[in-house]
Amino acid sequence: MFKKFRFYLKNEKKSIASTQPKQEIDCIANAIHTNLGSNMKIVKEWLGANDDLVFREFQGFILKPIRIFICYMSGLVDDKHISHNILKPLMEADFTNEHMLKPFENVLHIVKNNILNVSSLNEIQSMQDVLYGVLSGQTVIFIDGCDTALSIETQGFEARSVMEPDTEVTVRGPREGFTENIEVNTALIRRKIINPNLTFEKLTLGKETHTKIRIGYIKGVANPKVIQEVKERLKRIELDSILESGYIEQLIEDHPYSLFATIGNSEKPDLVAAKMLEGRVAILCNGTPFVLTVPHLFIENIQVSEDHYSRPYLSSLMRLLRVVSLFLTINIPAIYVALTSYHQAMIPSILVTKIASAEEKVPFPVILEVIMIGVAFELLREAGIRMPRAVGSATTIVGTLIIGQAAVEAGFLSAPIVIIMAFTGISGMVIPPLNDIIVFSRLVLVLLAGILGFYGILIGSILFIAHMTSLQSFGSPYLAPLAPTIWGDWKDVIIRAPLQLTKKKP
Amino acid sequence: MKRVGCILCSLFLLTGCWDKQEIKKIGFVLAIGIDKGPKSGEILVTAQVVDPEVAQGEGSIEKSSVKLVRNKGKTVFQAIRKMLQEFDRKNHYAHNKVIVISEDLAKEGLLPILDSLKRGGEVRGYVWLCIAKGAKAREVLGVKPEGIETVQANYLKGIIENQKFNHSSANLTILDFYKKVLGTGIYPVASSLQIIQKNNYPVEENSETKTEYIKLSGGAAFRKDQLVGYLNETETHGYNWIVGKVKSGIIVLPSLIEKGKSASIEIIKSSVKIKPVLKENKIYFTIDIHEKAVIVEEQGRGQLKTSKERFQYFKKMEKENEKLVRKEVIQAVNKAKKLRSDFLGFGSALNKKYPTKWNETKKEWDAQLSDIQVIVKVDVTIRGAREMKGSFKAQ
Amino acid sequence: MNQITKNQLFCLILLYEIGSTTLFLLGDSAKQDSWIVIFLAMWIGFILLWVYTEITKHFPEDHLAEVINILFGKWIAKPLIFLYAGYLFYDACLNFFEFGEIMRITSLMKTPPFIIGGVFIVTVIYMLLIGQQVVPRTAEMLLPAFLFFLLTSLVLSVISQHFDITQLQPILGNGMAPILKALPKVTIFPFGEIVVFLFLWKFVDEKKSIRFTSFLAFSLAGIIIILSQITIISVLGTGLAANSMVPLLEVILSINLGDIIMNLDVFLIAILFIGGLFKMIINFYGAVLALSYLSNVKKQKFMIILVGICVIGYSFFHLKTLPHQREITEDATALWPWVMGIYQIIPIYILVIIVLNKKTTNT
Repeated sequence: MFKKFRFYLKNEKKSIASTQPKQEIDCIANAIHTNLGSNMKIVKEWLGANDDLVFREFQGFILKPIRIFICYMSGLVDDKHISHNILKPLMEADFTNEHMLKPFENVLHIVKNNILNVSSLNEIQSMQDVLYGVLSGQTVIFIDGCDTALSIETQGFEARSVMEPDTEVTVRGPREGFTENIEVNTALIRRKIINPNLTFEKLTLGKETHTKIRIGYIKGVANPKVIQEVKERLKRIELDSILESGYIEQLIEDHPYSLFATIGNSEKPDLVAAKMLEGRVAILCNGTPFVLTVPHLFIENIQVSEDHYSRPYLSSLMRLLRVVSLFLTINIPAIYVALTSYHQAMIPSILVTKIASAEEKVPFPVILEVIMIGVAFELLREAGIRMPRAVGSATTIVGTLIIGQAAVEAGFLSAPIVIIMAFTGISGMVIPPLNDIIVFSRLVLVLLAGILGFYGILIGSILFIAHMTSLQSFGSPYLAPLAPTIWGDWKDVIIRAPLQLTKKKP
Repeated sequence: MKRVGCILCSLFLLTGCWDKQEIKKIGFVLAIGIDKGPKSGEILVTAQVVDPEVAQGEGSIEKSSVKLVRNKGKTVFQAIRKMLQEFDRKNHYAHNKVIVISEDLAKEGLLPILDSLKRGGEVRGYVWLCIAKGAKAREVLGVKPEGIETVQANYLKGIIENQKFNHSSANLTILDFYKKVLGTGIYPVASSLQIIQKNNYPVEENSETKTEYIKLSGGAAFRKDQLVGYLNETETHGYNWIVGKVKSGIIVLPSLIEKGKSASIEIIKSSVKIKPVLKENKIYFTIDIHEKAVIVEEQGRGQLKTSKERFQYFKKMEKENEKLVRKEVIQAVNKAKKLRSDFLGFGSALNKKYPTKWNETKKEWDAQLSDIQVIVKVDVTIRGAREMKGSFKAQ
Repeated sequence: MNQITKNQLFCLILLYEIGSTTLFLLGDSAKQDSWIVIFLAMWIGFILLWVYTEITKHFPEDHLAEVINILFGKWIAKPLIFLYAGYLFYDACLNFFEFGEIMRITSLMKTPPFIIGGVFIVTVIYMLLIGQQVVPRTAEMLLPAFLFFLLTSLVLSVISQHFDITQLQPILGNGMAPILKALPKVTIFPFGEIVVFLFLWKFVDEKKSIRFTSFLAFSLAGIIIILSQITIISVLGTGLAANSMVPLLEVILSINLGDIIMNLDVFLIAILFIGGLFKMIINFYGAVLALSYLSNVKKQKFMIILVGICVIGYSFFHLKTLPHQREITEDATALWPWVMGIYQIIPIYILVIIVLNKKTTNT
């Protein structure tokens, strides 16, 4: 599998290189001119078409009257910050007294050390840095006669505030969720774990997008091999654009063709922090609130952070319920098909006439009915998500009322099928991270049940289990505490033992 | 995963669905009746198929909730298949509840008849086996149910299962039948169904219209797999005592308080032990019955004043009760001797205790049955008389 | 299958030993005493197991074929290993074939056997191909389900009305003769089949725990088999039990609790499928190991697919129908009564030779 993965990466690289001609970044990689005019010309040449680019040229008095210009993208920067801390000091500066300025060698040093009252300031030499700096919200200062420009971090754009995430709703526990800003996200984790061992390593990925990536882990807790592996795989990615962590996820997975995701994601800082404390590595990506964690085990899907916050008995019960609902949501339609079209003998006699009388009026075979209502259910759900929120709830009501009731009354679907599918759907909602697996495997099992009855269901289930046992996630077996069984970890798998008993984290 | 995909795709391309059978194309048979056919050697099979819509109360009320389908053939299976030439649903036998067999067929032996049903695995072990006494099986299945259940098979099942409140009838499942016929030293007793005529309610003595009812009473005793005779209710009581199947029941005794009146005793619990005793190469059996009961009715008017009197009364009732049970048991044993059928399981008791002796005698066991000695011991405990201390007397 | 943990070994042995044996009545010639036969056979099995684990102690890193090669040299070893490969292959075919036939009898009457068997063998091959760890881990996952189905059906039949423990009486009614007569057959199947683990023990990571774990799983399997036999006889009686193709099916079908818990055919299908799958897969893998050692084939994947195709071919073209297969087995045992036992006995010779070798080298 791993070899294949590498092969896939290489392919990706080739295809991208061939389809999109590379921009000639090299020609601007040259150094900054001492001549202010030519510098301005180069910048204008590259970015001049954009009307959100701001040039501000003015006269400064440092040693001598000198021409200075600053440029930035309006909208990406904090205007107040620039006018207060950059423009004002530069314009008001009056360093003409040579005597006073003896210790300083040149203008640049004066500007840097005495005039600008900003905290983060870099000297840059190449034109490329200038361009990327400007594009990522920095303000660049060119001074006539210097071959070095100064870039100042002035990012200050409108960002979503820290809000409760919609995907992982909890009743008890912190309400905050990650935002699209990587700095904020890092800070959110740092606020949870105040520990010098907490490390975030920086990385930039994406040839066109230059997306900021951070690999977070706790030194001494995380397995160094896993960290190394993550870094290597990230470095191998050669993709032009990375807009969401999903891109990274798909490119560094162990088994890209598998149904099962071997990389986890979360929107909740407390969950990511907990996972990092368990020795996992987090991958943060700028521009998305979804943080990836590796290694990701199957069992994490049925665990919810809330389990650890509330008392053990109920949360153990809820975990069992989640396992049962996983089983039910995948199997119930298939079992219904197998029972009604193969093993009528197995339906309790009390039910059999009820089901038979309901199916009597329906013209379609049961398997077709199940597939039909399955499609309808997925349609409704998708519509409910995509529709504007106000309309969304209306669709579900319309869907349930019209499709459910009318279809049964018109004799297109039987009432048991509607009950079965509703139950299946509800059980599926309990475990949102497994949604894609559930939908797919449900369909596979229904088809198998339609061909071979219960034997088909068994074959399907065993193939799924066998496939899952063969998966690895960054060196850990995907089904880890279950198979291979690690008895010590069982305290926090299906049941959740009281915290006193689980001092040692897996 | 790609491999799984390939496997699945090839499966779909290669296959159809061979054993698939939609539930709506199936007729669920809830009872089977087997009769002798008109010609010799022919078997007439009657299947009671439920009409699901009517049974669910969705169809028209006039329609019967069951259909009777019958056909004849040389074998049971042939008859079953021939039915489909005249019936529009494929019959499905796994939900069968009751098998009724006519007595003339049962006299010739049941194993050949039941073979196809058992072999197919479609008729489950818990299906009740009944003999239609003095009637045809198809007639029994045709009697309109006079109970709550609209499906006649469920009605039959209901009255057979009521045996647990009533020890005057026997019941037998298919599995028990096979166990006893194939086992050693015991023969089965099946329940016998009769068709009786009763006046309509309210009972009018001279009413012309009579309704047919099905009555479960007594038992049908077998030797090997052949029906040899019927037990009347008293003998069935004895049979049930000996095989330990008395779970509840009413015993009516003459009242000790007022002459000519009666008292009822309800059995709560009973247990039995059959012990073979081998003495100087002669076998006799002791039957040890323990019964627990309460008095549920005392018609006699009178008063029991002291606790001592009451206790004495209970003791006397116990004695009466023991006498009656002993009589019933002896009657059953005598019936077994008369029919030369060991349906009471003496042989199997002997086998369990003295296997070597049994191996010697098992060949002539049925013939020897009339010679065996049986000693009956009954021990009755009356727990009390429900809510009341004694009997009532008008002042 | 390298790196089997202690827990996985336990699951594999348990699943292998129980396999499909609970479905049938073992030692049916001893009638109601068949559970005594099984009990005695289990003790003989213990002796065999001790011998086999002793061999593993002397050669912890080799499987049986390698041991034979080391001890006897090339010329004797080749036919011997071939014999074992044939035995395991035949066993795998038998499991495969029985599975398909019972599946057909119980639920899929009209489905062509080729499809039932084909799907099954594809599952087996898939599980062996996709990873070294898949089979033991799947065993771990499925053992609880298997035990759940098996024990639930036993418990339910005990509490249903048909259970009658007196069917076991008289104990030893016909003396010891029928028991002793049935004993060799039961010793060989299922207990003697543990010999296949001589091929697998070398993959266990904790060598010290092999003997303990094996004995534990072996005795638990024995107890479960005895319990199921007792249940079968108590529910069905000896007459019906001996006459049924699949007695456990009869037992499960007679369960009826309150008209709701009834008709649990699916339990049988699950027991049959999981048990049969692991029995088959272990025999199959043993055969693959022996054959690839014999033919010096390095690529196991190739061997797995080849053997898989052979299993299908052999089952459909030679065994044909279940009565035919039964007849073949009966003929074989009539011709060479001890031939079936030879595979269990050869390791005893091996152990003797090992011990003698040790002594001679010591003195």
